[in-house]
Amino acid sequence: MRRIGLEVIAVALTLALIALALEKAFQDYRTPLDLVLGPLKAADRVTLLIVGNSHTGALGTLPLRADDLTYNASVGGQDIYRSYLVLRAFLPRLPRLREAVVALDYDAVGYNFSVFNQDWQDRQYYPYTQELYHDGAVQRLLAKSAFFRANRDLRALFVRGAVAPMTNPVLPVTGSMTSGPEACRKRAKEHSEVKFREELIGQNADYLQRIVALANHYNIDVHFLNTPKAACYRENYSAVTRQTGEAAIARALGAQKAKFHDYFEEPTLSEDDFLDDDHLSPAGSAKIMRDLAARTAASSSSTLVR
Amino acid sequence: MAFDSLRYALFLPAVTVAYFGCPDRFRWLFLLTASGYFYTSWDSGFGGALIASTLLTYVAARGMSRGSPDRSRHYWLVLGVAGNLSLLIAFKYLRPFDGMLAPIGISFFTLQAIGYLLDVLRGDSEPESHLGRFASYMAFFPQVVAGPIARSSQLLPQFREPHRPEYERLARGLRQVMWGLFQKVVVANNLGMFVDSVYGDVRLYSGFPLMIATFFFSIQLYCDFAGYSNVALGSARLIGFDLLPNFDRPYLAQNLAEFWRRWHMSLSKWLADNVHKPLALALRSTPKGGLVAAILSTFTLCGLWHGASSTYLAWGILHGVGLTTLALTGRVRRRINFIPNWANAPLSTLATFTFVTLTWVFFRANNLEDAFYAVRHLWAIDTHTLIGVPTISRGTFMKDVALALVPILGDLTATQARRAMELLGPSLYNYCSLVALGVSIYMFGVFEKQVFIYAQF
Repeated sequence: MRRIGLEVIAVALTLALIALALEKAFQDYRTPLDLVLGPLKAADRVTLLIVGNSHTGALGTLPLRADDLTYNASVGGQDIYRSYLVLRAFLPRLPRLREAVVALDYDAVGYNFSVFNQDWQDRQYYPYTQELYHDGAVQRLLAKSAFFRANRDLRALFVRGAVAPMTNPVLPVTGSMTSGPEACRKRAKEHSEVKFREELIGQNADYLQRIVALANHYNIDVHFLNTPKAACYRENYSAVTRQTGEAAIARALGAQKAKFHDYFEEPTLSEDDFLDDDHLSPAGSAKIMRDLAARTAASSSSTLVR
Repeated sequence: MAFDSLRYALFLPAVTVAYFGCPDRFRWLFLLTASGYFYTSWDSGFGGALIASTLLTYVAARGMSRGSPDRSRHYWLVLGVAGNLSLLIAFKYLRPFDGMLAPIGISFFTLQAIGYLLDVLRGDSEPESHLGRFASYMAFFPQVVAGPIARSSQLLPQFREPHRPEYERLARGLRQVMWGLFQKVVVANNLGMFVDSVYGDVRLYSGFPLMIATFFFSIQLYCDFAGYSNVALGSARLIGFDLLPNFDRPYLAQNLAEFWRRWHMSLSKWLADNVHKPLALALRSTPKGGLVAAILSTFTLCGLWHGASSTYLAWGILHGVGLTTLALTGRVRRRINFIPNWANAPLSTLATFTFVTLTWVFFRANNLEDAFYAVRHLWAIDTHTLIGVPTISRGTFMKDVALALVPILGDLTATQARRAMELLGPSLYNYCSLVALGVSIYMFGVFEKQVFIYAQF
């Protein structure tokens, strides 16, 4: 018993040393969330906050009002739950905030990235949001580890200043992610079919309502935004998901003091207004922000804006 | 308390140390308490069925003691078997209450109980007179959830033995636990993410992604269940018990019959002894028909034992048909064998693996329609994309391919690798193995919730 005990202690010490060495090697590692949410900690003069996925990420830091100081905290692939967590973590720190724009695609109500094998991203949010989707002692322990927050990206041991890759790019969206009808079809299918689960609608509707409640609590206006999509993407987007998503959003927000701005099918935009099939170009973003500013200045009651 | 949880990582060493510190005469009580804690940690309401099965089996076996009249013995046997089957059917298949969960491990402990009663009837085992020891045997924590299904003649006497902590046994047990965790957490869980992405909504895929997901599932299931079994065997070994091995490099089998002698061996043996042999004996007047009926019935039952779904039934029948074909065509196959000797073994292994992997489609698919869809669309090769699963990146896919090869290469080179490692001497061998496995688990393990597949049966 003594001999095996000593061996177990030796093994445990060796493993602990390796774990500590990895922690040290990764302590300066910056995750995409560090890049997006890190600076927001000190951005207390912000008046417009944009939160969501790469679709709202493409809006950049355009203002809604002339005197807006905009901060875009969108993260590629972000779901409604994480948008809620980000708002919950940062609204108390932004005393001048007047408005928030939150991404809300139809398919977002049936999506949660933890359900699609991306739990590791949860750990990157944890230092800012202090909550995990799949909570538990082990998960919290892993979320506190720099090595695990970096998704055990061993490249970082060899490349200085590495940033963890994410499924979708983080702000700013700089290049075309899809090209051609086949890629466009796959992307629309991925969003509206592969990553859409009806059983997630209930919890996402709840998070939407919590976002509204948060906004009310901090006395800010929240605008949910479905950004425009190019024709090819729309044609390949599941009609069932669109219908289900629209209905779910209407149910969740209908009685709330919040506005859903649905630009999914926006006839005023041309091809030049898109960076790719589902992301706006700077010109397209400017048009949508101008329109959104006009809409939000005119409507102040609880409405679903079409 | 799953085997791959933090709780079990604390529970197992604590139980091992406390077990050896406990006086011999109280060890059964200690094990019973530890097992009860382990079992009810899944859900405190789960204990009822296990207690009922234990008491019923104990009483029935006592009623079957030697010296009792034959009629009375058979009466007790029928009572015990019917009682256990009723528990299994009621809790697993009928579930009379809405939202009712089947008690964890019910498929395993009821089979173990029935096997014990049949062993007692055949005289292979003496009825255990000590209820506490018998309860420890039924609830034994390393194997209560998903086996290996114990043979009473092999395991029950071990509860009377005075176990002492021996270095060799402890070291081997530890290595086996770690190897099992590696199989589960590193190989099965990583491959499971790809498999779940595809089989979660199989109709979105065809060709390569489906083919790869099916191949990955074959490896995932093996590593998931063999991993579970290794943790079970290793845990039992730590406290001095030997359980029956459950896997013996099954994907190296050269035919389906051999596969079943190497895969889920405790279930195969149970079915062979308690279903197939008695049936074949009863039907011996019509040799070929009897053989076919015995094999098909055994594997239909095997399929249904996994769950009351058409997919498991189809999977069982497919294996039954495969084995029947094998049994009936032996002479013909030998006569028309045109494959050169040197190629015979690898081709037979490949053919067996392919057949088994294709039948896993039925095991994994959400329903029969999905399974038929998958089988039809496996061959629709789409040259545009090799992976084509949006939730899996190319890098992850390459890692999965490498991991899928680990168990295959491991099985092919297990003996040589062990011999080479043993040259290091026992302590260094143990140290290096544990560190290598620990580092692999830390670097590549998937720790998000992925339950053991067989723990659901």
